Amino acid sequence: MTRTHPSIRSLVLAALLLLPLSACQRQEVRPWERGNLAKPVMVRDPGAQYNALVEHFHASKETTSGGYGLGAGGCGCD
Amino acid sequence: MIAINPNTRPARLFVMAAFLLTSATTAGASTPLAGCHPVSLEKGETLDLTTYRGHLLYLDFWASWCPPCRQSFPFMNSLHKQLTADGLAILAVSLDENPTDARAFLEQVPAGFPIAIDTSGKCPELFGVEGMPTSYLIGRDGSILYRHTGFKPSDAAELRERIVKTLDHPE
Repeated sequence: MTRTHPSIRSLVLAALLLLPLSACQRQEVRPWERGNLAKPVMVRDPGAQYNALVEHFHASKETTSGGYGLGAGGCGCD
Repeated sequence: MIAINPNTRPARLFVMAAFLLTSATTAGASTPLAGCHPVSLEKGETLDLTTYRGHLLYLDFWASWCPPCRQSFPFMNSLHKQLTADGLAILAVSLDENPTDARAFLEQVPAGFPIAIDTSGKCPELFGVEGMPTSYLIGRDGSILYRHTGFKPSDAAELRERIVKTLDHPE
């Protein structure tokens, strides 16, 4: 077997290790392949209306400004 | 440690294969009509779209899960009713993976025009569909005259005008 320069060897090894990643390059979902993604079960928030109501109450109880996501007691002092 | 000499034949073949793997995916076809073979949903026969040559063809790609597609069906029904006599052919190709989904959709939204299905996804690939639905106006010589991506009821008037104009003044 011929002796090769260590840097070439490591380069080839790196290429070998990275090559399997090329299988990820075609993970894109084409416009006509969204059938499964369009199913109701795939919705991130299945009860959008209910959730909006809960968030509204939460915001009005918990914070005086900034809406959902800011924590405060409702007194407007913190 | 295994020493790999990049100048050996297997190494060169390997590099070539890796290159092909990354570049082969971008290949396209120049004649989408000839390469697209949807199956008629009603009769189950494979269609040859080149037989539409000589007609102005309104080719629509839709899917049962796509809400704007649902909105486009009444428009296509009216096109079919009013412009078939003037030489317009309509073909709506479902891109559903499962023909049962397409049939269930058609029970809710009846279509008076021919429906086909392409479960392989080859047709939209060839035509370069970028959104759902996408419709193509294909001239009598088989060339793509116009592409319309998406559908909302307010698009109908402009689309109809374009079709009527093309029917009146052949390209």
